[in-house]
Amino acid sequence: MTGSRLPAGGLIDRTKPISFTFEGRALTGYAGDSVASALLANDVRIVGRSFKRHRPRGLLSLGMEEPNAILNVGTGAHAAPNRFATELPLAQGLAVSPTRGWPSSRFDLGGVLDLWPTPLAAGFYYKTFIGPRLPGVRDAWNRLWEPLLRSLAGQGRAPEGVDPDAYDHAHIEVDVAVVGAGLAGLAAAEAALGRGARVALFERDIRPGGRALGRDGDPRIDDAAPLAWAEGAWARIADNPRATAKLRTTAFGLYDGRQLAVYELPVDGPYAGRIWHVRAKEIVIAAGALERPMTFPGNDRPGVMLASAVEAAIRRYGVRPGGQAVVFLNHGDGAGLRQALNAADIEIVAEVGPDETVTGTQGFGRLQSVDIAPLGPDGLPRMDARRRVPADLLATSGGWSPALALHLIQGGRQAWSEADGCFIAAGGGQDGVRLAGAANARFSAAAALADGHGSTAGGAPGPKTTGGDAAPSGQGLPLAPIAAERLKRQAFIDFQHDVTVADIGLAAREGFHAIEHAKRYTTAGMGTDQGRTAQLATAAALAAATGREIGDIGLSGLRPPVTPVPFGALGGWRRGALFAPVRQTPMHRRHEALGAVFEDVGDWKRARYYAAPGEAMAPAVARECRAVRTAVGALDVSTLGKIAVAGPDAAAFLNRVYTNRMDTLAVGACRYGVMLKDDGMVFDDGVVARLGPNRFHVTTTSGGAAAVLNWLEDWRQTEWPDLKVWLASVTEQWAGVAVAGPNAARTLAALAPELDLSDTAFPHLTWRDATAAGLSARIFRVSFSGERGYEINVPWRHGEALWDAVLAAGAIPYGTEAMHVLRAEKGFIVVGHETDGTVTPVDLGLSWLISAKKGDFIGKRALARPALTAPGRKQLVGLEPEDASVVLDEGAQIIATATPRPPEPMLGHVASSYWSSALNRGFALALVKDGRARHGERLFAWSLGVAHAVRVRDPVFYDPKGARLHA
Amino acid sequence: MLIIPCPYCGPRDETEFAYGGEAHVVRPDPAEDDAAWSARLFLRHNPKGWTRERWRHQIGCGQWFNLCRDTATNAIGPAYRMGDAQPPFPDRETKP
Amino acid sequence: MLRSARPWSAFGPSAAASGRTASGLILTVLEAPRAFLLQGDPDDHRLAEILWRTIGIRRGLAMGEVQRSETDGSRLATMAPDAWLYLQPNPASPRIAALTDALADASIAALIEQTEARSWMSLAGAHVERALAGLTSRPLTPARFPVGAGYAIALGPVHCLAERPGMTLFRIACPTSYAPYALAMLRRI
Repeated sequence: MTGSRLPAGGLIDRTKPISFTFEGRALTGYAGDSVASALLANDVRIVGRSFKRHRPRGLLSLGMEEPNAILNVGTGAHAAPNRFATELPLAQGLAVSPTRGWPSSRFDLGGVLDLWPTPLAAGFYYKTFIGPRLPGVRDAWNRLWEPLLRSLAGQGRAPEGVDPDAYDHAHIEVDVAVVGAGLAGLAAAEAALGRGARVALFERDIRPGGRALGRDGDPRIDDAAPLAWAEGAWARIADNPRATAKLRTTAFGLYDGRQLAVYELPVDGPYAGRIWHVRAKEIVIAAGALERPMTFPGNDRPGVMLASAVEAAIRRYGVRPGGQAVVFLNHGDGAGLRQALNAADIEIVAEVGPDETVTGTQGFGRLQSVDIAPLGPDGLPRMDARRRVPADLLATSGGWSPALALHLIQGGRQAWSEADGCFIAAGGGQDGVRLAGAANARFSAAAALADGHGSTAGGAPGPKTTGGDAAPSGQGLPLAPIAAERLKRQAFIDFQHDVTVADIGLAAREGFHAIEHAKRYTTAGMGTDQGRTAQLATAAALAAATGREIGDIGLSGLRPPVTPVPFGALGGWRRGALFAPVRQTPMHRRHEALGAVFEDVGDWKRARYYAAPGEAMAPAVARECRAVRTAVGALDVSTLGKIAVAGPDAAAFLNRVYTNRMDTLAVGACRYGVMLKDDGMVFDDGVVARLGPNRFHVTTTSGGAAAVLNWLEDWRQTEWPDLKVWLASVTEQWAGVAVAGPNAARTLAALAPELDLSDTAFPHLTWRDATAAGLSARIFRVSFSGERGYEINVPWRHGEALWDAVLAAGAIPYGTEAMHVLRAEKGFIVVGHETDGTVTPVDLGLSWLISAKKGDFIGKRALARPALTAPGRKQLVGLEPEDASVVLDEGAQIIATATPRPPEPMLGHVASSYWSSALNRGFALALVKDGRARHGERLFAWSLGVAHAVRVRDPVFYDPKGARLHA
Repeated sequence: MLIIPCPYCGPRDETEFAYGGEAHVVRPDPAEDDAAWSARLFLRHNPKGWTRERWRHQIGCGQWFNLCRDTATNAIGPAYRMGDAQPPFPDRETKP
Repeated sequence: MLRSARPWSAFGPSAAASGRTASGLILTVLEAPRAFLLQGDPDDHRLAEILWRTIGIRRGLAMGEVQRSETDGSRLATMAPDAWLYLQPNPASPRIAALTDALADASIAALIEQTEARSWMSLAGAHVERALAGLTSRPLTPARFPVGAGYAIALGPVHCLAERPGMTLFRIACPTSYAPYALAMLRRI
């Protein structure tokens, strides 16, 4: 094995080599490697170029705090941008490449941006690239500069095509959910299982153990080496039938009601990912702590790595990340690092002491030397006394910060702890959620185990440690002192966004003193790494620049997801045909066979029109309308909402709900009614049929059925619980076909020969039970078209048979578009077209529907409000375009002039607009101020820059006397 | 997502419920003046902290009931049936 | 004998067929029992007397309770404090006529037929709980959904009724208009 792989050691499986490619280069790693460790083993020093300045970057860490190694994975539809190399388990055939760098990450033309980075300082886009302000050049930023800069920056290539992977969802409810299977998490899970709880344990990594995977120097636990203890604990937990233990599963969200969201990468099976929604009575966040790098000039050079990453490289992955190392720590826990370096035969050429600091690094694309200077009495480095040390590895640590992300995103608070040298959790958040272990600032192994186990009086004792127990001590802020402003521009705080100490100083000078402002102005902490290595340094730099204590600055807020989650995973199975639920009538197959073009009405698929082969919509609709007006048409009305209202107080209930009286409706009769909301606005309309003294059949609009039933149920339960009335949906109990046209009676007679269809026996607005086409049916004589009409209802399962029979009897199928044209010709409203929640029945010309002879009903009192009775309200009118061939746009604004000059007073809008083959012209229904007083007036309908002259008229265009109902 | 304790069915996911706005808003007598009616139609309290509101167990028993909730923390307090006496809000010191 | 003639076309010609789901559960399309929604005052003794006399079942009071007839496989599920669903597998059972006659004038209670409005299917298999947990957040453990209980439940976006005749068997009724979508959704689990 060439490159930096050590000949032996590590937790990798050297019997299982794995081939992969990086930027097209074929490389090899082993099972147990992450992509990051495999790259390191193959001596890949540059893993990408930075966002703004295209600086060459290497691996800073081997854990989830990594900011630099962001890779594109895969190609084509399988491409996944922005994957962290440290989070990708190495897999056979994986193809990864850096996010930026052209033609390659090693030789990137974009690197020229780093030659003069000053114009790209924080917030540059507020001050530069605004011009040129030349004649004919508009908006240079949006049209010229931003596209250019975005192509230079960019954050990965979006995949081409639909994500072909399948993702799963699962819901699980447990007593205790534990995030993290390190020492504290394992202890917590075992303790909970010991108490009889159902437990879920989620670990982000491919194996349990946390710190035990990369560290040495921890004591023995229950007389076993830490890693052996961890693996034993995991095995015991996974074996327990009350436990769900998952590796490769990251907790990315924590929400109200202790709902934890985790994303699992399954090892095998049909799913590329699985989101678990976890409900728990208790949540233990044992997410560990994240190491912070020291911030010093030249700290972003490839070869500068976190101390824990150097240890993990050697101990876990068997990789030797360099030959000559400088060690730069700000705490006393360096024994493990030194031991690892010695074991890997890495020479420690210098250890930066407490009175020294690093003032610079050198080397292009690879660390070559480090400048170390002593600190003067003012605490600043004495640049004149600095020495240059050759090194190809700089192991740095600015201390450890508890991983508080999950705690913070559910509203938890944090506070600076001087003693611990980090921000720690400080209350807030939900009951039943606690941090444990390093996440709770318990950094030693013994403390972490005890904290995870928790205090259970009388419960089993927790794991016992024996031996030396190291923990970071005396860690302070990770900002190295820097003398010159020039050097501050080379001290990187946010690696992802190229934000330096100088940028924070700039933000402070410009008045952005609050952490949230400084963050957004500089974009520090706004990368896909959520500022894991940047947050504390940002706060520390801001504190220094504004002369405040870091405790007063605080950390900026975090939001889920803590780590990126693919959209496909969030969607799960709800994609493609299943994306939105679909409802179908029993005649659906017939509509398809007839060439129906469907429209969505709520979840329903309704036939909008039936197109003969090659027929466009307009001629099809015209043909259907003519069929209804001159012969007979058939419309599938199964989708209409139907509500059974029953009980001794049913009539009284309906009286309170409709504007007109329903108690006077005779058994066997039907009545059109309008429902208002309590503010007096029209809410729904429909026909009510009386089935018996205590039984009514109420119809609603198709789209409003559920809302109306919910509305009525609300009044029944909460406002009028004294009424004995009950409501039930029967929308899908009855399928329906409307038979309409001058020949409707003849058609119905063919289906139901025994039924007396004379106007005396079966008047308009009554209903009869009969046998139609051999099916037991309920027939309502109602009309939405203005022609003689019958709505035949049969049990849902017989809908198709009824449809067949009606068509066999000669009816022409027509769809919802024709239905709309026909009703509009008659001036009939459609809720949602002529109403929008601001229209009263008086506005619609339906005052005759408002009964003066009954008690209170919903909306009655509101109708008396001054605003609803004032002049100037929009009223329903008809519009005839002067040019009869024009079909106005729905939504066109009604104005008084052909040449509007803003602010032009708007008098109303076009609510419904169609072509009428009966009238041979375009026509519309509109709501116009004082419309009823304007009949005959000439106004204009304006839409998208064009004003059409229109004449205002009565909204009933066709058969105003209603004679066709009895034709 | 909240967990809402339906008084009839026990604690269930928020997704099973429909929200119904402020509780105990009394519908005035029609004889009351316009101001009273406007208040009932358009004005609602918006406290920071504990509030009483209506919920319906839509995918379940279908019943309307009242619930105490802290609008600042989304802590859930007692639920009580329509017409029941209003239980006091949980102690200020109690964490959500 | 009522036979189903359901249009499943939007989701493929075999959409109505029983078969296996992706993870191997047995999905069976069932004949719909006659279904009647009964609504009335739970404290009304007249209603209790009518139920016992006509269908031989005493109404339950707790949500999810399903009271069973001792003789004919029919059952009464408690849907709300004042609502029960009567399910009668024998479409011509004389009990139906007896019940509807007794409540015909809707003065004591409302009895509304909803047979057509529901499509029925069953899911069986050892891992049925785990599979359904992908579609609903409602806990399905035996403690939270006992054998013999029946509850309203959302499976994905579809509002269903689910009964649990056995530990590894769920019987699901979805609104008929959603049936093709629901079946396609269930086939994927």
